[in-house]
Amino acid sequence: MSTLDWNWTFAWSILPALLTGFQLTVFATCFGAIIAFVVGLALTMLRMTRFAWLTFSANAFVSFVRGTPLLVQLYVLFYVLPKWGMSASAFVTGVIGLGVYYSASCSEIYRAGIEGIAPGQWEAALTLGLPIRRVWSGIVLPQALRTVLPMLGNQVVAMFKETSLMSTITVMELLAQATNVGSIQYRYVEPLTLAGLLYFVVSYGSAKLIRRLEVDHVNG
Amino acid sequence: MSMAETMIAGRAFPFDAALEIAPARALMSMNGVSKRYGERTILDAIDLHVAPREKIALIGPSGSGKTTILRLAIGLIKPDAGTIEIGGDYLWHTRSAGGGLCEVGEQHARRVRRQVGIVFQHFNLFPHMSALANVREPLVHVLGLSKAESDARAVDLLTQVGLKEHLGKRPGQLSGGQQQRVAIARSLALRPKVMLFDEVTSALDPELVSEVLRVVRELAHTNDMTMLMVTHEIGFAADIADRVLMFDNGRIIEDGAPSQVLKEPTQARTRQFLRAVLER
Amino acid sequence: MESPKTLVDYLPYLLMGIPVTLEVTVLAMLLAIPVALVLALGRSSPHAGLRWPAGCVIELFRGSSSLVQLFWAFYVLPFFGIDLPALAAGVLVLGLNEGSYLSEVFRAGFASVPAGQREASLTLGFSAAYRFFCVTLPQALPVMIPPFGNALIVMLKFSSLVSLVTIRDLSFRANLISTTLGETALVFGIVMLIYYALALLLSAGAKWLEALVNARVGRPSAGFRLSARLAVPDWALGGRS
Repeated sequence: MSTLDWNWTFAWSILPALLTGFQLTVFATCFGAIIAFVVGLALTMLRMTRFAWLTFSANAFVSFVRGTPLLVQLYVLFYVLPKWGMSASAFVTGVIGLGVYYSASCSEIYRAGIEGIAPGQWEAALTLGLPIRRVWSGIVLPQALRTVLPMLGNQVVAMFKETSLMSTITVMELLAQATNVGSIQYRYVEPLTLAGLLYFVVSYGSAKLIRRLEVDHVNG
Repeated sequence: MSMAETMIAGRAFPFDAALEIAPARALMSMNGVSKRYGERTILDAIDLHVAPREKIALIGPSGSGKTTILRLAIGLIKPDAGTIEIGGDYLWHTRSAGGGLCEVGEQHARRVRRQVGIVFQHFNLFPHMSALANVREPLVHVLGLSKAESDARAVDLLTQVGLKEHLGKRPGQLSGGQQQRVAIARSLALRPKVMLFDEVTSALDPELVSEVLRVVRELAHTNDMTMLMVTHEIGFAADIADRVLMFDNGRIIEDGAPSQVLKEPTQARTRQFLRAVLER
Repeated sequence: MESPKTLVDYLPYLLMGIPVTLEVTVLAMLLAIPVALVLALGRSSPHAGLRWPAGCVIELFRGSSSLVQLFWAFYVLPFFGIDLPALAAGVLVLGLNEGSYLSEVFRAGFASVPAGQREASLTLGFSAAYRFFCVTLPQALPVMIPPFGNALIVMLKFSSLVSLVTIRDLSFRANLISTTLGETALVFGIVMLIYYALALLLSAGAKWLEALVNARVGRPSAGFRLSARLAVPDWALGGRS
């Protein structure tokens, strides 16, 4: 039975490395979120067109992305893209992979929001003769987005946690830094615990914040 | 003031070739219009001719097709059979070179139904916009007016319906009666030739009904407006309508002046309905 | 350009990853469900002494990265003297993690049973256990099946993480083969298709179970809105909408 001997000196010494990784994690989350939100919206719009082939393709894409593990998708992008002439840094590849993976679930969220708009809103907008683009941009999307904002927020938090998968494609984000530091002396307690703590603090705090905003929004 | 010959003509000839019979003066015509949902026939070969400035009340039990008529009139739904004309143009057809009719789609329908406005039972205001912005919306995005001009017109319209003090309020901050008045102002913004009212007071608290009816009454008396109203307010219908139509099971079973339809209906079903409604 | 013949040689090895992946998924799921139930009961308990620890466990697992949790179990627990075999560590972490998320589903399910049921049971003199197993649970079940279906798919995807702690599942084998052969597109493409096929299968199974439960319990399927975590939408299974 070994006792826990937490080495504070060691813990302190690895902090800079961990924070460097944390910085990368935050960047990856931000850029990934932007990709997810934009591509997700595009996907939702594609899934609602009149052209059956377009709708089908978009639906198939979303279904496939959500039905396969992010890990494998990251591998595909990392190993396969360069062979097709599209080489980018591991970080960019990881961000794209993360963004596209979450764009699929964001697309579902947008769709739920749009379908939740009362038909009366559509009827009012159309009977007023508003052009269809204005119906979307001025009436439907503003309402839908406002409704689903908390769910999108939760996606960002989930994304933040799954950036850890980027460590498998050589991106030195938080987890990669932690395992790297830990492997030097085969001492993983401090690095992984500190990394875990960082993930937890940010993720738990953000989730609480989102819930607070949700309640405020509902209460007017 | 009823256009007797047009009414009778409409009812006596319920088939598609009624084009010649439909008088050139009718602002809106429905000829042989039918609508089905699956097995159920909601409307059965309806003929309806609306003269300019006519105020028509549509009464009848739920599911009899009155609301469907309005939705067809504004092009929200397409008829399964028959034609609809507004202001001389067909809503879902155009005249081809040979003189026959061919079907057209949304674009054409949108253009033609600009002449029609509708007020819904549940107001359907845009909740994320103020009252002023709601009324301004069609002015800016359909007529293409400048913001200054749209604002001016919108303020004018809202003043007409008595909401000058509530321009900046969101629908959530307004009572049902106020919301419905905003909805009326919004529909009037485009100066439609025909206004449709779909049970506009049914969703209101009883004490808020009168403020909305007042606005509708004003519209009826001071305007060149042609109006079709689906309503349960029989007294109101008697007051302002030139013509009352009684619907039952997808057909028009009564069509005449209020004094005739409401006091001496020819059909037993009408008598039954009126008795039940007026007893409440 | 790799020679397909070589890949074909590795195909059996790759396909042997399917049972491993399924084993991890199913075992983790079998752990997650009781964990979720216990946590849900704890969370809704009137005793703060039960509510607090349950809440902490839930927030802890939901609030941190699953991969970190996995690595922690694999690399750090030995320091505490707990030396788990890789499979146990993987199943444990995935089960606890998913169980924490699923506790919400249980809570929502129980909340969906009309309050009148509890009142009626009390007045009829049913014991708490009887009330739970024979009144509350059967009625909560239909509502909970779709999210459980979702969770199963999520678990399938999460199982791929165990490839990073030396378990030879599909992802592990795919990675190994691609590194050996140097040709990745085909290998990963095949693996993605296998995962997708498995997801569709599991989804269909969940739908079947839902229909079965609905038939038995007699509540009409409310067209339960699939949660945002569902991997496979209705249309892909030829279902409604």
